[in-house]
Amino acid sequence: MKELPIRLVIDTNALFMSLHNPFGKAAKIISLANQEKIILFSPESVKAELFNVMKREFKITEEEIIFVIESLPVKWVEESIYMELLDKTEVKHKPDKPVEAVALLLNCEILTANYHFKKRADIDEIIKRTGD
Amino acid sequence: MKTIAIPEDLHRELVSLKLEGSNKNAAELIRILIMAYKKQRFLEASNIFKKKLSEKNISFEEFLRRSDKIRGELANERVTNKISNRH
Repeated sequence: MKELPIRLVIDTNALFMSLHNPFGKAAKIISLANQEKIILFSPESVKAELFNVMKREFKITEEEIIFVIESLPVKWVEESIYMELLDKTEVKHKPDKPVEAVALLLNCEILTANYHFKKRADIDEIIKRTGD
Repeated sequence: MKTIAIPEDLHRELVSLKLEGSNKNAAELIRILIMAYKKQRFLEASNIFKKKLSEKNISFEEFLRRSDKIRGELANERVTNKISNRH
């Protein structure tokens, strides 16, 4: 029987890292998602963060921002779906709460460089498990 | 199974690529082409990001610090909006 793809929740910093170094470990995860070996999820709040951070920090058009965001193979989860789980999150940093809530919803690990998440995914382990 | 109409020259090219390669069928070949397209699109997006970061003349670490500050502000706005929506 064909093994189901690994599901992971990815946070804002990991997505920025993949864009900054398209041949690094975070980008390897993007490549695995493009090959449908893993499925990446993230809350809509992360999409809004990517948009607003780039808009505020760069001289960039909205079309360019949309192009960048749409190049990321991420399934965006609407707030209404994970809202009730926000109160069950343990992470203290407010922007990270939706990320943890989506991980709770899907019962999967979080791909992040952030040490205050408990259920962090090990990138090397993921790469090994996908046989890449 | 679904069918799509493509120009004849493209169909010829696809069949030729299928015969040249070890791919079993056209669907597998199209899947590979889609993956290559997605990879290319991601690399283009990465180039835009790196160009904008370089124009800004700050390190990536500094960018992440600024990003964290903005993310905090956005999270606070979300909370404020939720409270005002309740009232």
